[in-house]
Amino acid sequence: MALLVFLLLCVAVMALCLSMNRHHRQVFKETPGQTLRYGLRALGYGSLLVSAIVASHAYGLGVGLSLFTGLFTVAILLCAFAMTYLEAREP
Amino acid sequence: MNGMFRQSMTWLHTWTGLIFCWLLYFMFVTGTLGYFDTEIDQWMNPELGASEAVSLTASVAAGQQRLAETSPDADNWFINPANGRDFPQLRVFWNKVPEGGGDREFGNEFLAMPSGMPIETLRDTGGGQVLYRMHYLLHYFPGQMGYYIMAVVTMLMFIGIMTGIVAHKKIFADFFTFRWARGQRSWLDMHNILAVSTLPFQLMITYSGLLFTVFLWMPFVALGTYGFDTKALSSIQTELLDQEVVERAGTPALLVDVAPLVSVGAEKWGADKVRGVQVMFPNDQNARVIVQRKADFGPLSDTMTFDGTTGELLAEMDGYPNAPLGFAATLIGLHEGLFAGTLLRWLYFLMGLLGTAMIATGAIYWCVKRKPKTYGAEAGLGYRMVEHLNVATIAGLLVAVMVYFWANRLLALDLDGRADWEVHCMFLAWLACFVHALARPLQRAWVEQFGVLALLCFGLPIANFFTTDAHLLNTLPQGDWVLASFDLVVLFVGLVSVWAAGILHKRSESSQPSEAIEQNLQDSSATAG
Repeated sequence: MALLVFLLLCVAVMALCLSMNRHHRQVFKETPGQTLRYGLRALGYGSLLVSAIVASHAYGLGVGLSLFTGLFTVAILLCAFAMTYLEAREP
Repeated sequence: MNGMFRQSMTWLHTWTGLIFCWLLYFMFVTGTLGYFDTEIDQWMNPELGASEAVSLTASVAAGQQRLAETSPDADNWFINPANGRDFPQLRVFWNKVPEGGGDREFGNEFLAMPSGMPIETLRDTGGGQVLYRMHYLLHYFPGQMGYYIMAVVTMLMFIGIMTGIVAHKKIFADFFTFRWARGQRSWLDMHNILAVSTLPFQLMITYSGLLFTVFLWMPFVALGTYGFDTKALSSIQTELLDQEVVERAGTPALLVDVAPLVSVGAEKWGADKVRGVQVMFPNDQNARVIVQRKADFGPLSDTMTFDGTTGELLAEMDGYPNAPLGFAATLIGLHEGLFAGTLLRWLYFLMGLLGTAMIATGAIYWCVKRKPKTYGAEAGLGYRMVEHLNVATIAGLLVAVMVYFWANRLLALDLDGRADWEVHCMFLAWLACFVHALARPLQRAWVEQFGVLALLCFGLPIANFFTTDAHLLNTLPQGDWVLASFDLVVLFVGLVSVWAAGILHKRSESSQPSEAIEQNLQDSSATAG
C-alpha cells in the first residue's frame, strides 16, 4: 500500500511540475496550452488527495498522514532532481 | 511596506541563522540519530543478543521482582517487556529524587529471561540514549542549563522557519528548482528546496519542540491563573491533564502483583499491544500502577491506572481527555515518532537528515554570498572564523559521532566510568576538529575532515569484526537487519564522504578554471570546501 501511496504522489508531483511553464519547456520544449495546464493541475491535486485518502484508509489517520507527508517530500525531491538532471544533459 | 517587511525578515533569518546554526546542526544531528536510538543501543551492546519469547506476565513479574530487590524506595519503576522495536529485550528502569533534593537519580537494566537476572556480560555504554538526550539537554551542563539553552535554540529555529518562509520570494515558482553548478545560486536553491520540501516536518518538529517547553516559555499564563506557588503547576495537571496528582503518602504498604493488572490491559488491547507498565511510589500507601498501550496506531496513546495497594482500576485514558491536550499530545507524539514502523521510521530519519543538510547549506550559503566582497587579503577575521567553524561543525561533528562509536568498540571493557569516557572521546574529537579547522587552510580543512570521516566510517565495520561477533559477516547471513543496517549506513556515510572529499580535493587543486561554469564551481567550492 505504501508503494501505491508513493506512486500516486509521484504522479501528482510530476503533473504539478509539468503544469508550470518553465518545467514544461524543459521536458517538451514548448509551453503548455491553458487546457493542458489546468488538466495537469487537476490531475496533480487529484492524485494528491487520492494518495492521502489511500494512506489514511490503509494505515489509519495518524500513521497514514505521517507516511503521506514523508513520501511527499521524497517525491518532490526526486522530481526536482530529475529536472536538474534534464537541464544538465542539455547541450 | 511589503518590501521593508521582507527585508527585515530576511535580515532576521540571516543573523539568527548564522549565530545559532552550529547549535541547531548539533541538535538536528543528535536528534535525527535519536530516531534510531534503540537500534544504536543494540549495536553498542553487541552482547545483548536476541530475546527469547516469554509471556508478558512472566516478564512483568520478573521485572517487579528485580526492581523490588534493587530499588524498593524509587519514585518510579518502569517495566518494559520484550516487545518489538522499542524494547527488543525485557528492560527495567527506575528513578528517584534523592532525599534532601538534588538531581534525579536513575538507572536501568536489561534482564535475561527466564532467570529474571540482569544480563551480566554487557559493556558499560551510554548507547543511543546518550546521543538522543543530547539533542535537548546538550552535555556537561549542570542541572537544567542545557535544557534552557536548547529551549531558546528551539525558539530561534521557529523564528528561522517563519522568517525563512517570508524571505523566500518564490516558494511556488521555484518549488521544483535546483540549478546545478551556478555557484551562489546553487547553494541558495539547495537550501530552499531542502527547506520547502520538508517544510511540514520542520514546522511540526520545531513547533512540537516548543510545546515540550511551553511552561518554560509561558509560565505566567499558568501561574497567574492558578496562583504563584509551586502548587500551581500541580493544579494545572489536575485540571488540564485530567490526572490526579499523586504524592508519596509516606506510609509503607505492600505493592500488589503487577502482572495481573497488565493482563487487564492485554485483554483490552491485545497481548502484543502492551508497551509496558509504570509503578509510581512502589511500596507506598499511594502507589499507582499505570499500564501503557503500545503507540503503534498513531501519535496518541492509551493508559489504564490502578491503585497499587488494592489493584482497583481507577482511571482509563483513551487517547486524550480534552481538545487542547489532544492537540499537544498529537504534536508531541508526532515529534517522538514512537508509533512509527520501519518505513515511517526511515522517513523520519531521512527528514532529519534533510533538515540537517538544510542548516548546513544555509551556513555555507552565508559564506558563499559574502565571499566575492570580502575574500582575499582583506577578508575579515569574523568572516574567516565563520568559514572555519563551518568545517569544524558540519564535518567535525560527524567525525566526533563516529569517534563515539569507535570508543564503544575500543575502550577497555573494565575501564572505570567507561560510558562517560565514550562521550569524553566524542567531545575531545570534536575539539580536535575545531583546532584542526582553525589551523589549516580552508579547502584543506574540508578535504581532510571529510577524509578522516571516510576512514572512520570504513574502519568501523572492520573494528567491529575484530572486537565483537555482531559484525556484518554474521549479521547479514542471520538476517539481523537492526545490527546489519547500522554497519551498512556507516559504510554509506563513508562513501558519501569519500565523494565529498574527492570533489573538494579536485576543486582545490584546479586553480586555473577555463570556463565560466568552472569559475562558478570554484567560487562555491572555495568557501564550501
